Amino acid sequence: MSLEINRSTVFVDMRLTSLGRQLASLGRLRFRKAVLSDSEMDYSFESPYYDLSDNFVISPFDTAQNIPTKNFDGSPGIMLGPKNLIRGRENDELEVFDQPFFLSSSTRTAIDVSKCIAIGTTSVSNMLGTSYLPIQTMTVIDPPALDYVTDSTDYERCVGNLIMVRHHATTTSRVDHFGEQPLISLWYRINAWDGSGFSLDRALPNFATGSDEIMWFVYPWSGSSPYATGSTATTESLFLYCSDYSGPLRKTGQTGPSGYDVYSFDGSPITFPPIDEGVYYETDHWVIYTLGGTLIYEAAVGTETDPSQVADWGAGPGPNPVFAAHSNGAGTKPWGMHIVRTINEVGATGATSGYTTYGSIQYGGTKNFFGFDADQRAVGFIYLNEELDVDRQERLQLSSTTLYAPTILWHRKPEYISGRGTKGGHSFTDRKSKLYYDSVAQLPYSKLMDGADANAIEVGRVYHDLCMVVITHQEMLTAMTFKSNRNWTLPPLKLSLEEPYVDGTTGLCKSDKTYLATYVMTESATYSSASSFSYRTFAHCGHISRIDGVDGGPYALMARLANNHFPYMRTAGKIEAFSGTGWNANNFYILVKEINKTEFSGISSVTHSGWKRLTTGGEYSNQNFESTISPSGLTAYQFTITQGDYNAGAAYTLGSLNGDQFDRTFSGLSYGDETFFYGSIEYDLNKDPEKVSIKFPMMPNDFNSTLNTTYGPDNESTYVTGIYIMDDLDRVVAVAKPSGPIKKNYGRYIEFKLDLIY
Amino acid sequence: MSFLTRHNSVTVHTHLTQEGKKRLADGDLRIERIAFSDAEVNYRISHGSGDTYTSYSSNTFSPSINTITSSPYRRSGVISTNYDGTAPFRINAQDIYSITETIVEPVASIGFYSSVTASAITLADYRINTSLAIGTGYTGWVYNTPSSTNPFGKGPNFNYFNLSGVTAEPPADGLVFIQFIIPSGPDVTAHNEKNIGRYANFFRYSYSAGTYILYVDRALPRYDVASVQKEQPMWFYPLSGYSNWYGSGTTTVCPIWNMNILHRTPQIGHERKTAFEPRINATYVDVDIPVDIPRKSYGSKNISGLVKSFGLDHLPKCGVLHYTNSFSGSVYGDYLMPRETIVDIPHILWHRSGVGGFTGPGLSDRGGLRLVDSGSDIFYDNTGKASYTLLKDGSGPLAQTVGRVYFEAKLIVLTDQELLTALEPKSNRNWTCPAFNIDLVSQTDNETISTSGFTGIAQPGKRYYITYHMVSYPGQGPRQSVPCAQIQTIDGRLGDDGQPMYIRASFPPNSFPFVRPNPVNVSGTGYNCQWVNGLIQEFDIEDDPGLLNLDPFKWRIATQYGVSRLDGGSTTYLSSTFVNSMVFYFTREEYDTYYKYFQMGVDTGSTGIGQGLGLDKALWPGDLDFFYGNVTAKAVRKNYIRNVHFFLDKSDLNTTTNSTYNSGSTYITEIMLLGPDNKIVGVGKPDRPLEKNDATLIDITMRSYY
Repeated sequence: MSLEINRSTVFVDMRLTSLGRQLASLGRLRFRKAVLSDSEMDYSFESPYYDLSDNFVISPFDTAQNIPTKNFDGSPGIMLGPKNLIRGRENDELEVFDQPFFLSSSTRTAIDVSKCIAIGTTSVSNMLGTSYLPIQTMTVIDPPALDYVTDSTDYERCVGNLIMVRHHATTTSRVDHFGEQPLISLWYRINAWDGSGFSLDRALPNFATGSDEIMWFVYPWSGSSPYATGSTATTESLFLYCSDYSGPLRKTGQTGPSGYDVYSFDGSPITFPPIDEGVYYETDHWVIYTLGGTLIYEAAVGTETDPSQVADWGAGPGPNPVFAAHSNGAGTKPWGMHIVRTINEVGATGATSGYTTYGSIQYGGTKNFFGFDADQRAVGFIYLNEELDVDRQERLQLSSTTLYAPTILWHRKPEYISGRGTKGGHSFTDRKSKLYYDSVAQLPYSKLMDGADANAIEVGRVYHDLCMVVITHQEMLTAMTFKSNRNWTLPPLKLSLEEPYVDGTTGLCKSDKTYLATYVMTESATYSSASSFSYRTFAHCGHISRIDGVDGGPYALMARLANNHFPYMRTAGKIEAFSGTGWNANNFYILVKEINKTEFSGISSVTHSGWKRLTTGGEYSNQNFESTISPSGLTAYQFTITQGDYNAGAAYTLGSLNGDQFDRTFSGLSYGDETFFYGSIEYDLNKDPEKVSIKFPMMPNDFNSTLNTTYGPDNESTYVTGIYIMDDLDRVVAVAKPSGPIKKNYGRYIEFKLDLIY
Repeated sequence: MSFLTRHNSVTVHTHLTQEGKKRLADGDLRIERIAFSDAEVNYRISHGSGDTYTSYSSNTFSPSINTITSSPYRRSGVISTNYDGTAPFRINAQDIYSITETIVEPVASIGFYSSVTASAITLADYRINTSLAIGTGYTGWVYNTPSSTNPFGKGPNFNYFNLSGVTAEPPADGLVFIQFIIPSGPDVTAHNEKNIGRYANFFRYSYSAGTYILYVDRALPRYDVASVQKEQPMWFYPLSGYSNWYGSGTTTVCPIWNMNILHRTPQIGHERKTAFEPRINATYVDVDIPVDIPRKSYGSKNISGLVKSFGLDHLPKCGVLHYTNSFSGSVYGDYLMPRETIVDIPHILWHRSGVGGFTGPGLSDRGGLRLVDSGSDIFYDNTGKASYTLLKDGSGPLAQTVGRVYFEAKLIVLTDQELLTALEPKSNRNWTCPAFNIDLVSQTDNETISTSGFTGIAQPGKRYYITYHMVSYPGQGPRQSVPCAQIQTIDGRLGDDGQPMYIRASFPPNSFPFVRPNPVNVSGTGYNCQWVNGLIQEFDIEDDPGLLNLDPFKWRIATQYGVSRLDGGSTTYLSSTFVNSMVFYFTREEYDTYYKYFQMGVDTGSTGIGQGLGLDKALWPGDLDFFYGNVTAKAVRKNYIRNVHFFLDKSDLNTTTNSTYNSGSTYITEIMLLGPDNKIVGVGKPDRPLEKNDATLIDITMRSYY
């Protein structure tokens, strides 16, 4: 800018001169004197018709030469002593809520479809247990930030990208795909498009019957980077509140209410033209909610910009319907997320080094940096996407971070009776955490917990200085892993040792051995409202429990699961009762690995091979004539594992969930291929750069005259138009300019405070 | 003979830590040591099992190509060892030095005109960028609107007309820029937006929604040719251009430059009181306009101090072009590149150039003026304490200086009084007039003087201020405009005959490229002249009030033609050649006896340039606050860079205490600059790990920008 814009409140813009910057680069920038100037005043223009305070002032420019060392009134420059130079931090705290994939902080599960490449629906009756997803409806959205497709029918361009399918079994009641119900949100990779549907990387459920639809959302394979390079356009979200209106909603050309009162999410009114006057709205997706937030109509056709082109809105819900419309736009950049594994997944096949071909292996060194190499087989890094070459001044405020994972079905939900959970998603926070110090990384951190009460457990860490959240909870990581084929978490197995109580059996646990155990569950392959959702194979519990053999054995390995940690695991008869949401298990197997105590150096070093899936002693299937396992039955069951059980176990393999070690073409989906955190993050961003404040006063009796030649007897005040800051050698190292001349007379006491932020 | 060892040269951007910034703020940032870390390397990943495998990119996997390093973060603490366990390296004082990096970036032409070409833009390439106008439209047909009996511009419809073809109804109050085409001129759609050499100017308007009648601040040109229709293109603009409109955005680049013209003197023969009433017609009996009207009513007083600070307060008018707005970015960097500034003003009819199609006096058919500072020396303004280049109307040796480019302040100052006059809407003209050539002569060849016996005026001890006024024919074309702003002075003396000499005034050759001998010549572009008044004021030298204090109502013109007031007899429209050949003589008799005081609106064919909308909606000189042209420049960004240089020898850092390390190369993931107390004051992170072994030398430069 050339001239300072005059503002009603005076502020002073200080800038280092060329010399000042040069001295700063050498670390020798010092402030010793301030000289006040009124050289930009022409006092002869002062009149009853013009206030000299309205004068323009030139912005400080790079060079400032031959500036007099005296003030405008002829007095010597103001010496800057320690009292005038105040050093400290400029503390600026900003509350941030990044919700790149969701619409609002109040409805955290409402997916912002403007971030999708495409969205669509598939009839559950067409889900036949193959990897083929037939398309019923589809809308290409393609945010400008992505620009993936050429037109609204360019479905081919979805190939190679990710698709999140929000599964639920057949049901008579319609499911709100933007609501809080515990849908099974699974991520697949699209291999091909044949004009009618997508081929995915693995098999889908086999619902086969039913009239309802599931909804799916296509996201970019390359994750957060396309969004990061996109425009800064923001997503506009509107609620249309139609006051005093109880009839059906109408489209252009039909009679209807003369207009609507429109309110944004925060309740402030928005000027919005009447909907029935043919006004074109820049929207791509319409969702109608009642005031209570219930979805009543969804026009996910995406391409219309004119309400008249939308299919008839149909009958309204009665008084005061609410609309939500959201336009395309890049919006908030997603937080990056990488889940790095430094060892093969348990049950993987292939070379020991297979993990090096998993995704996110580039972050292996980072995992080491934090000292997570001993007990963490996997670690998730969730980080603020930003340019690397900016000077980082921000950090997360201590105990201010909360992660919202709307699609995760967290196992610790004390508010629900087992199997009766009706709302999915969970939040994780460090708000109650103390501050800890990571002596390996030499950084402070706080603990990310799954709640704020005394029973909360740690799931990760918040490294404030890095603006990074590290997820260490293995089950949370598993549920966020695309390849795991589940979005629900499982509780850990509790292990203990006991004398074998069955005659003729020998205990498993020997004193020189260490035993590692977890479990895997499966569902039947075909949907049945009485017995299975048909999600079939999904990843074993990521939490590996450990117990060492003790002298006096061998003892039987005892295992059981804690009560009330299966909120979304439905029992027989409940598969449809909760709108087809949640999951079930038809089989349960304990996985065990025995190793020499001397060879054990941490969970993260236990190799992937040699794990046994137990079918006797470690299996829980069809117990008590249940067609599907009930949480109560499972958690009440005490597993007793003997040497014979272990010997009879088969080698555990991941099967279809095996990591795709080499393939990064369109068909590949492996562990670690996640690149963004699919959720929202609330945090306080703290910016506290160093600053120097130069403070000095203009006393009432000072600076009331001037050597300025235009100053005359009719002038009553002087005006400051510039402040020059000198160093020890009387060189100008900084120039401060007010936005308008600062008036000074005998009645005015003025204190200057000039801030220089580093 | 020996072989060269591998030698990597690496430059790493350094981020000051909080401690470093604190020390910088204290003016005591000392860097004495450098330390290296490999904390973000997991050597096991590349050396774990001995298996051979490839990644998707077919590269052999190693930390150097696949390990991501975190971005620099808020580091703190004391470092006592490198990753190999050795003490941090000491940095020689001479390896810490500051350099300057100057980046010059062209800034695309910014202003109200867009170009039909992307590069090498000429004046002919410019078109009015309609997207910067609030709306566009046309006047109604000039002959029959408002009515055929009282057409456009003709009394009593001096200052209003009907609107036609507007893209949107204009706001109630604003500015309108109109290009005027004579009734028999070219089709409006074929020539609008271009810098055709037509009369074009801004008017302040007042509008009531739905009426489609626009009232403007002063008399419109008159084009009442019976039965011939014509409409005029117009563009609507906001009254306060940059502050409330173009420059109010903080995240978008302001599309225009601003302009303020400070007036220290009133217009010569300023409008009288009645001229400020809604009716334009003035009588010259009510004279009570104060001499200090510029200080009372004119706009742009807010640059008075700025003009004074540059030592330009001796000029009656001074214009400042500045790029002032709320945009938070820096479009023009630290300063403008000297000698690279181009100022284009497509709508101005510059008397010296005759830009485009100039085939002879009075035949220029294209307007526009390009000003450049190329080839200028760099001068230092001791008053303003700033450097500047000269802005000229060309780059050749005969180019005329019209202003200065204060490149450090990113300001352009226009000092040419005639250019400023043409840029000032209230001057009522977009053409410039040449300055008189004046001298003293004892004898004349003037016939009237010969017959009347008029004597010379130039008495010793007297000083004379002289200029002139070109009077337009009131029945056709642009209305009256202000006199030439190039006021000349000359001191009187006696001739060889002992008598006061005559003051002779004439025009430089080829000074009227746009004066037409007929309104329809050259497609009706340009302007016309019916006669020329010589204007003069006389003072005792010792009582000379100076140029800035001349009484605007004391300019004398002759009451008769032939000596200092020249016409073409019965010719209504004087030709360019005729005007150019005029020679004026100022005589004692005319000054003392046959004179009257020049008044706008009285001596200019009865219509003036007053305030047709009344004082509450006046357009005063200086009120226009945006620059209706384009500025092309180059921005200079200057970085001061602190370099810390260090050389890792082949024997350095070839092993590590990293617990995952077994053997082989080591990898650097972080470089830390330490103060005297080994506290980390700066951190640099390579974008991927740097491999180090006993065959590798690394030449590292740690770089910080200021």
